[in-house]
This record gives sequence, structure tokens and C-alpha cells, in this order.
Amino acid sequence: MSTRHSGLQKEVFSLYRRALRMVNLKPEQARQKFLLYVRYTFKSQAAAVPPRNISAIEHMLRRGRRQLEMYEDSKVRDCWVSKEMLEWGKQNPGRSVQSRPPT
Amino acid sequence: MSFLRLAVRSVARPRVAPRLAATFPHARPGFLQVAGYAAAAGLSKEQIATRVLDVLKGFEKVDPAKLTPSASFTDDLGLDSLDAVEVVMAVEEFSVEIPDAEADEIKTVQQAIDYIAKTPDAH
Repeated sequence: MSTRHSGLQKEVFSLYRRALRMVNLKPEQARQKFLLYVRYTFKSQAAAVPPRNISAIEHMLRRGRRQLEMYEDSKVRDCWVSKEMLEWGKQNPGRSVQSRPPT
Repeated sequence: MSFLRLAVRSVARPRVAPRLAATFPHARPGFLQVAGYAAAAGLSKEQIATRVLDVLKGFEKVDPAKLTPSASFTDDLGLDSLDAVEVVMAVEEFSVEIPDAEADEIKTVQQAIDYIAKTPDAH
């Protein structure tokens, strides 16, 4: 894996960071669902497109930004996750402890 | 007399600097002063290292056996680039928001520790 990232990759990372920050602003009980949704969407879409297909990635970035803008609205308090996402989440667990340990 | 001159010269040129540089190969000039200031403010380098490693242990994909400060997220810990973004975001629980340009440069555990160490607001 190369250590240098292209500008397009950095844009994807930036969108992913923004999406993860959005998750942290959601109500506590819905956070896991939002997190699963964000992780699943990014991972599955990244796997669905060849890395050299720049115009497809740019299109997905634009679509992702529009979607994220919608989700960033504080009126959005919950989200729906499909069975497929839950299944994927079981196979690809992320972080097990979400809360900050007491210091 | 010449013995005395030799002694004076060896005092005047302490050999500490190169040895410290060997201990901290990634240290920037002025690094030690910064670390000292951070330690006085609250977090010592060891505390930061322990907590960053704890954050990483919380990730299911990370093999604790491979987890060392020098480990690279993608090369040693077997994370993909999106996982690496998640890991760096998790380090933000030190109450700092890492700007994108700097977060893109954090690729190893040590770089994450160093970033928190040089950020005075981290706690």
C-alpha cells in the first residue's frame, strides 16, 4: 500500500471524517445505527468501484456530500439500518468501546 | 595544567545532545522543551502513549500482538485506509479536532502520540 494519497482519496477521507463527526452529534441511542450506516455505506461503495474510475468516484463524492448535508440536519434523529447492514456489521466490527474511559 | 584544560573542555562540550537525539530519532528541534511543557500542563508522554494504545485496542480489527508504537496503521496493523481514518478520528477523544491536512499525515501509532503531545489543549 502506497503511503502517498491522491487528492481524490483525501477528498473521500475528508467526507468520511465529516460523516463520522455527524454520527457523534446524534442522540446517544441512535449513534450505533448511524455509525453502522456510515461505515457500511463507505466500505461497500468503495469496494463497488474500481480505484481508477475517477468520474464514478467524483459522482459518488457529490452524491455523498448531498446525502450527508441532509443527515447533518439536527432534526434527523434516527436512521434505518437494513438486515444486510447488520449482517455486515457483525462481520466487520469497528470499535468495541465507544465511550471515553473515565480518567 | 594540560589535564585541567582537558577537563574544562569536556565540561564545556557536554555530550548529551547527540545521545538524546539517538533516543528520539523523530524529535524535531525544540521537541524536548515542548514535551516538558505538556507534561507540566497535564499529560505526560507515557500517559498519552498508553491512552492512544488503549484506543487502538478498542478496534476489533487490530491485533493486540502487533500493536507497538512504531506500527503503521495500514502496513502493520492490517487496516485499510478508511479504517485508518476511523482510528485517527478516535484519537480525537483527547478533546482536539485534528484538521484534515494534519490527520492525513498521521499514519503510525507514534505519529498519533506525537501529535497529541505537541497539542497543548489535549486532555
